[in-house]
Amino acid sequence: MFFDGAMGTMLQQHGLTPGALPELYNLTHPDIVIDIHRAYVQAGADIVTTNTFQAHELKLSGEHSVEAVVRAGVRCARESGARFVALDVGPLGQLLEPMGTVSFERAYEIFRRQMAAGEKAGADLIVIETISDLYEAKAAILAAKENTNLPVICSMTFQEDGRTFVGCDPLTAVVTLQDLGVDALGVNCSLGPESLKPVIDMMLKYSRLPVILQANAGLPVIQNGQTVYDLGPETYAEQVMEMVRQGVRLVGGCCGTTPEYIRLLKEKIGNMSPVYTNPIRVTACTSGTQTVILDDRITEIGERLNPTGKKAMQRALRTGDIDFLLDEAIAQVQAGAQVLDVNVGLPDIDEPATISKAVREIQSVTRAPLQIDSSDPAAIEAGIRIYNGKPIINSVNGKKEVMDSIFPLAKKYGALVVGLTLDESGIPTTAQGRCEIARRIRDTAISYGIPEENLLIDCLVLTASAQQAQVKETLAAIRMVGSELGMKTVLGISNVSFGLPDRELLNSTFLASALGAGLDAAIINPYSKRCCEVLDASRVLNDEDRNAVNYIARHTGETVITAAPAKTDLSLAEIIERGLKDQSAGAVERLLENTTPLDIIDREFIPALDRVGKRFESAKIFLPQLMLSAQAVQNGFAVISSRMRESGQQRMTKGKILLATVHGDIHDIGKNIVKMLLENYGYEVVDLGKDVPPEAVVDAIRENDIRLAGLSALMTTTVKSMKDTIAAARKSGLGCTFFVGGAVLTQEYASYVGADYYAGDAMESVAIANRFFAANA
Amino acid sequence: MENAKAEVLRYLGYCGQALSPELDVMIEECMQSMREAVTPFQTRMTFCICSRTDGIRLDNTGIVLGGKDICRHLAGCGQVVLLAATLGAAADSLIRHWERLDITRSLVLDACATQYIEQCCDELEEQVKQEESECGLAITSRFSPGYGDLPLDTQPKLLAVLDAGRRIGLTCTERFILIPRKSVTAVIGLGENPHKRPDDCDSCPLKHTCSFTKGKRNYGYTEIDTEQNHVL
Repeated sequence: MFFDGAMGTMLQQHGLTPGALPELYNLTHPDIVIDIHRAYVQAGADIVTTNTFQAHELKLSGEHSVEAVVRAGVRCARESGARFVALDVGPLGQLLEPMGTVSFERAYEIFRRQMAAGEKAGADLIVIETISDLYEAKAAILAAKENTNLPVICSMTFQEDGRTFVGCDPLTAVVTLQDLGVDALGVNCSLGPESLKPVIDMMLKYSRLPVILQANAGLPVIQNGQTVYDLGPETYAEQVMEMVRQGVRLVGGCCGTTPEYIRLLKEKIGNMSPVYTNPIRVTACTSGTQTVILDDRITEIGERLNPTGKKAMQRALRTGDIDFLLDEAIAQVQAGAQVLDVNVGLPDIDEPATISKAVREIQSVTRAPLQIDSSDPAAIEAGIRIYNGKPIINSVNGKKEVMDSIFPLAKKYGALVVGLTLDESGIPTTAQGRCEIARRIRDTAISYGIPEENLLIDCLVLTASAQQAQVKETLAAIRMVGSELGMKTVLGISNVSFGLPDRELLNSTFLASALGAGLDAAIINPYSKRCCEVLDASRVLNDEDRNAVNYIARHTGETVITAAPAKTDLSLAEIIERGLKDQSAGAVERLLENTTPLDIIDREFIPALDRVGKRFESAKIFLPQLMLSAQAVQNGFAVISSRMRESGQQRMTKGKILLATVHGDIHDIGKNIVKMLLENYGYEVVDLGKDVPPEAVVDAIRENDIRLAGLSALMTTTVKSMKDTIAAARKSGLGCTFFVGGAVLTQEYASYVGADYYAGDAMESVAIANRFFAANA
Repeated sequence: MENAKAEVLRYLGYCGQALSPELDVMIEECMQSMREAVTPFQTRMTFCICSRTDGIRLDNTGIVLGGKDICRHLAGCGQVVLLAATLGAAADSLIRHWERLDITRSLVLDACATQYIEQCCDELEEQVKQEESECGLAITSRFSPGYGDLPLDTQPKLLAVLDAGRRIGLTCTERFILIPRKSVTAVIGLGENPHKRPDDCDSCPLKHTCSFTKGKRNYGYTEIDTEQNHVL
């Protein structure tokens, strides 16, 4: 099939000035738009794409409605006499969270409006194109699938390094997109056809769907200050022809191409028959920028984000302490986990809301794909919907009711699914019985349109202390599921040792046995040294760690990392003043042997910090040095806090302070430094994060009974939000005192926004807090 | 690299203090890891100035560069180069990643990224200078939205003219914050005898508030730049 070429290039030839909105031509110059479409149809295009690339509410402010511009766009395309009219949908032009400020839900809404208007106006299909962020692609695809009945094509834009601007690679794109229910996928813009060959090759290698290529007319080069493209129509068509020989099925053009390019494409390629590829089918999950393939290798799934039996995590979930989850996520990945299981199930929390928040935050700090773990279908859907990439669902089982509720979700969101080998009658005691359930799970999944490779079977571990004879059955089931059904297997290892001493020994031994039985993915505690050693060794024996490179690096000589902090003769005060942040925890441990926590805070932390603060104020040290000292205290504080929790003592606080970076502003490193210092001085900080709307600040002040709040803004444009926030709090009758800070802030600005205090730097915030709570004790 | 390191230190508020070896190593590591992590992208276009009443109007675009300061900056120029450059999303990810693990490292990385994007712009500026000198034209220094009284709402217009979203993945929020964060848009004037800005602290509009002069060192003239100015 032949698409058309560039619209923007053609409009500029017809007088569109750079920077003007091309989409408005649908209303102001429909004749020009129709003529361009018609020229493409005459050149041989089967499908023309409407001039609606950014006809959405972020770009069209005010004057013309999205509906009017889209309707006019579809009408222009129709009038050209084209066989098919594709509604063109480009990126939003603003980045989604966490990089930018547009939420996933808002993106979905914007796309929904544009697409619903397109279908209503009579478009035959939707082309989502020039996308860099897989998350944005997902929002657009869901908007199309849930609100229209049109076929959907999604094509992304890759740079010379083989990645999109936000770091997505073609493998991750194809693995994720093809299971999200699109009808074709591919590549457009950025480079000429030949330069896109590596990207196209990767897509053709894995794509079960037709692949589309709409390249630029070569590379943009600057001539006399203007952008021109370096490939002529003849060369362009020859290069595209080569791609069609490799299996590309839909072709057209992007920036710099004209009807002449399409005419030559049609001339050279029009008589070729489509080349069908034989795509590789793999079991893989993805994040927004990374793919983990589970075939022919051992995959490690981190189990720590699960509240079962973990008091600290239960507390974090109940108090909404998302930082705890993020630290755990990062630490597991650093320890070697390739995928993270995320379970937030507690009887007394709103699980769908919590998992949605957790997934959103965790995926902003790690590239590892996530496994959404819940027994509640609503929580599973909340988690996989907000997820950026192709997740794993943990889990479904052989019960009909469970399969009927989970498989439609897995199909719709294109997820991998873990199937547990149990059903209405419980867990079969024989390997044969479990294999039978696995078969049933597979057959049911296939009937829901889920490809077989998107399933993982969990043969279930029973504890050796209670059902010792069953452990061998699990291993036998793994072998049988692998050999008889050819399915991948996954297993939560740690259960086996429940109730027995030295659990690591049992866990690691069982892990080795399971891997020997052919286990593909192990859900383990990534901090377990023995289990990690077993994995390292197995990857050598499995011919996965080629030439044992990784093994040698990790197990040669004195690379063993000891957890104990280095012994030192320095006093805690010296450690803090020198900013030796890795030594403070050990020093605090030693002091705690004969000093109370309160004494450490009052006699060690605060005097040392005061001295450091004075040196900072007199410019004897500069910011990073102040921060290293603050981190040293922070690490010491962590020891004290956990000690107090263990002994059931309440955390003491000198006062509660709210901090927020105001609405529209996304710089929060300054605010985070202030937070750290305030906590060092014993204050409890309620941190609302960045880009916080005034209402959220007002609500939090009321809920937490806040008397002192700090607001941060970095830009002159967001200082206004500061004023709005303080005004909103005053209007609500809240007697809260405000201090403000941030790069552009001055005493004058502080007065202008109505703040009570201006903090020129982080230490001044501490001084303000000290004065405030001393006066208002 | 020594110059680059001095700049990184400047962004961190350094004014001659004794550096601990640990911090010194951290800065070197951060400079290297930032350079390894990112791929800078840039794009530019040249336009003729068609009118100077009510700001600078550029030929063949709807764009107006408003304010007195840009007019002064472009005195003696017949053309301008609009440019945009970015370190891309990888710089933001790296900084965000370390924010949780080690906030000091994250701050240092932030400064390294600021230094690096400025260096990229310096190189780009040098390239423009070379090209234009062949045509007998000299260039002004870079001038960005937010400098002086050139409004920040010029930002999305510059991006649109340069088609920067498509070409280099650069966008801006509704409050005109460039994303990816470590990005620059700027105007460079071209003329036979363009305006030269003064290069000393005394004529700098920031002279009363500049934190860089804390250590009494001369950092020359700094345009008020709400985007890149300080990290805190």
